[in-house]
Amino acid sequence: MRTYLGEFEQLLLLAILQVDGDEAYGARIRTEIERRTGRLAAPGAIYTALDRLERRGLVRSRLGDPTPQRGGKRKRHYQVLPAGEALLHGSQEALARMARGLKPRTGIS
Amino acid sequence: MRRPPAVASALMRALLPAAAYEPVAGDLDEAWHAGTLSRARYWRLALASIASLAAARLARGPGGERPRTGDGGMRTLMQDLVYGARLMRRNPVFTAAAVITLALGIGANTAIFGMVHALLIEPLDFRDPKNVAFVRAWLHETGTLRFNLSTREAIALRRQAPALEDVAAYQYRSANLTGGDRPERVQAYRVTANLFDLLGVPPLHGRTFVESEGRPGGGDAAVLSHGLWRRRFAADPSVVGRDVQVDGRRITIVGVMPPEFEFPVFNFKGELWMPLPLDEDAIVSGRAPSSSATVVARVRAGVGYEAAQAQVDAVMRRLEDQHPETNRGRGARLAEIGSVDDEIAGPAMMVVMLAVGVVLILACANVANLLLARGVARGREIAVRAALGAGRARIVRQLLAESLLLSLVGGAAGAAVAYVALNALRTALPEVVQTTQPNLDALGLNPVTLGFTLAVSVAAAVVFGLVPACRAAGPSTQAGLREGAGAGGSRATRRLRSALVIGEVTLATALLILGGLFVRTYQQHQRIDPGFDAHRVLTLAISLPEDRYATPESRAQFFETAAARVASLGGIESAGFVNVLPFSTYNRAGGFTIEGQPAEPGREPVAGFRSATTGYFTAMRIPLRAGRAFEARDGARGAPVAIVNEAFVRAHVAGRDPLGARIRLGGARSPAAGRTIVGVVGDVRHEALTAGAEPEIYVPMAQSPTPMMMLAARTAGDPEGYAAAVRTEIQEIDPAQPVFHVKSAETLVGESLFLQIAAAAMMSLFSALALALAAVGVYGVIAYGVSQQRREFGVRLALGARPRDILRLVLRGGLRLVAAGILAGAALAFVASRLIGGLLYGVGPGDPATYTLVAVLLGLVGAAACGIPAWRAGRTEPVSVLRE
Repeated sequence: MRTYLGEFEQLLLLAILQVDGDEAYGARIRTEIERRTGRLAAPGAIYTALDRLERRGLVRSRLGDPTPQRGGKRKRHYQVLPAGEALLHGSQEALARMARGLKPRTGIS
Repeated sequence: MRRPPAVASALMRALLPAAAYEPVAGDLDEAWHAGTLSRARYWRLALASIASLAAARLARGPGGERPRTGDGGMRTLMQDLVYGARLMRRNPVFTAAAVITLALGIGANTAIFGMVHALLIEPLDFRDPKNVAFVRAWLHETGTLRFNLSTREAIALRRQAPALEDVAAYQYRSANLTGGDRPERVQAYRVTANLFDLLGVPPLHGRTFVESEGRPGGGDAAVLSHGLWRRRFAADPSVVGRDVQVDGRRITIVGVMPPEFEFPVFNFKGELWMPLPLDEDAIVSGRAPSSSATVVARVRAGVGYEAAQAQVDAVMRRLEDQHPETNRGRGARLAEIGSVDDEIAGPAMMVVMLAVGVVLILACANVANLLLARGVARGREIAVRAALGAGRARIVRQLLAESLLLSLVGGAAGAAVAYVALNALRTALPEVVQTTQPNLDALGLNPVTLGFTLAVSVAAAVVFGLVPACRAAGPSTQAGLREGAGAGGSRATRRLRSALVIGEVTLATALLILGGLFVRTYQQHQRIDPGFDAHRVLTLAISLPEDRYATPESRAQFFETAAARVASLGGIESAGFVNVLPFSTYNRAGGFTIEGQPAEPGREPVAGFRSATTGYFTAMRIPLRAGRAFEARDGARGAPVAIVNEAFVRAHVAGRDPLGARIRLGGARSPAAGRTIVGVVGDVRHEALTAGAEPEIYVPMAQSPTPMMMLAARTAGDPEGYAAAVRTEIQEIDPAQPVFHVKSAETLVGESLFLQIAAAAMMSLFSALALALAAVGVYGVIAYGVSQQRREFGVRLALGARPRDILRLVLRGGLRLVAAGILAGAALAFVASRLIGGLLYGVGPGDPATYTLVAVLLGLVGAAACGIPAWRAGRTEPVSVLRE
């Protein structure tokens, strides 16, 4: 089992945490990532990655209600589990440690 | 509210895993309705989603388990395919050459398979079609089959052969449909009331015939074909119960058949069916006349054809005993209804299938050759892979995956080739095939043909990919790591390529010879004199309805007027009518007796029966050999006369003067008046150019006007250009009278050669393809060999060899292989042509001219294919090579 998170996985976990609790479903996660990073991801790619995270016990999901805007199709809501938060924290820490002291030269903090 | 793109949604529904479809498509729809997605972006995201989910599923494997890294079926296959795709993109020339070659090979095979499948394999749309059989007359003495039985025989079979679940009969009737904007002739049949039940096809609307309609006085009714219903009645279901004007009589439409119902087979497909009322008891006892009809039977399930045939034989023998005057020497044969046209087209189709298979083999050989060459070029890459721990099997698998990808792309392009070819074929089919051949709708791309394409593509990938892959992954891979090593390919690889050249030339030679024999067969057909001059003759048919033209006088008057009016048109040199034109696929024959030569009842000689107007012989340029042609005095009240052909004279009045002899048409007890023979005309081939001329009796039309007659009009220019004027002229005599089968006499003759033309055209096409493929193959091998031997040539030139010596060296090496191939090919063709001897005409299977021509042609092509690289080899710059 991998003990690190890929970049896209981190983006996803952060997006779920950024969105208010119940609103964290695919389309909302996607727009959140797009709004903050300008990055456009296909829903299929998002669900593939989320599926992987779920099987690793980092997030959990439940099926929500269908809405007319969705053509009667149900949403899948996501929630970050403690293990996910811990791993995300660790990954962010590691990145931060790697970047420490570089700011004067590169602007990376 | 705007709807999200429907096709993209459907694609997602079809291709996404069930669990992923709802959230993914829902998200996209939501964004769509929020107005944040353009149509293009919706599509892009949908396709990207499908791709990423499919890739994830492949990576996980079918069970959802993530495979161990480095090995495992789908994941590595996916990797190999992706790698292969990248290679294809990087070598566009190689890819294009391979894909085009495969597309031609696979496309040709798909097209031919599609044809064979639709015309020979696809079952007819009846219930249990295997049990539906034609019952054809079998004449013991001559050993010939005749399509029709008598209604008395049909009734006897129905009553006395329990192995036959049911027996039905039908008769062709020309019918003129009036009451619309323009009179139309439709293919109509009188059928016994049980026919539709026997075939087991229920109507689409309304009903088929009921039993009472099968008896005299049971009332008339009409069942329409789907095509006629759509064309003439705009597919209106409420036509059931309405009346239609058939030959001037009002008949109630009782039903409409579904589109897939095509009946009869092997005759004009019916458009309108009416009941054939039979007074069975009266026919059996002889109180009512028996007539001729085509008979179909359903063999009882589980009984089998053999047992059924035994019962049919018994019934026919009983009839022979009871009615020797009509039934002597007559038996009947059962034949599965779908197998009858296989008897004719089957052998030719087999040859074409073989030919097209050879084309595919050549295509595979060429691609294999390309791969072999590339395998050498990729030696270093493969050696590196092997050094890094890839097993031999792993490398073979990777190379095979690349071949598979190449083949699938070629197959997809091949499907497009087949689509175009099949569409072209469908429109090129002559009228007689279009109107008689069932299952033409299956002639195109459908799941079955596409499945065949896929299977052939996969098989081809193995055929052309396996040997190069094993060769490339062979034990000497580590040699590839050493700089400059293995440049010429191993000795074994070189030998393999030589074998490839010989093999390709062999197959191409054999195919060209067979193709040449078919072309010669067609040429020989064209050289046959049909006995008339088809050039510049317009033909058409007219069928007078019996209600409006009930008397012979009215019919005679119509045709006489029509002949005169057509003949007086500008640009028409002469015109005449006959009841059946040669090559029209119609024929009429009957028994006759010659005065002074009594014949036993039932054993009277038979001759073709022709009823012709005075202008017919002139219009067709049928030569008068003796006596006179028909004249105005041979009218209805004139003395009964006849003209016979030379075959008649040879067969029946040999050794004496036919002029003045008297003949009587019909059986020995016929009440017909005797006719005096007043003339002898040349023989005319009637059904096929290769069939010998049959004895024929012509009588003046005015003395025997049949309701259906065919016009022959000799024109001054392009005959089809006069069709409109002639049609107008006919319609001015009777506006309700349709004309049909309008075509030139040359077309008529040409259509009879359809099989020969098709066989010759396809064999020419495929052997030309084979020749091109073989030429490319030979060129490729020799050119590659030359490029590998540049160093050697450089050394030779530096040591004093002249360029001419190098050229000769290469040419000799290449031509030796080509010559071996030509010899082997000629031998192969010699063996194979024995098998097709029955399909040839006027040319022997060992025809020296064809063999010589093909050998010379291949020698020249081979010389060119070897010559170009040889010439290049001679121009090698020793300095530049040695410096490399």
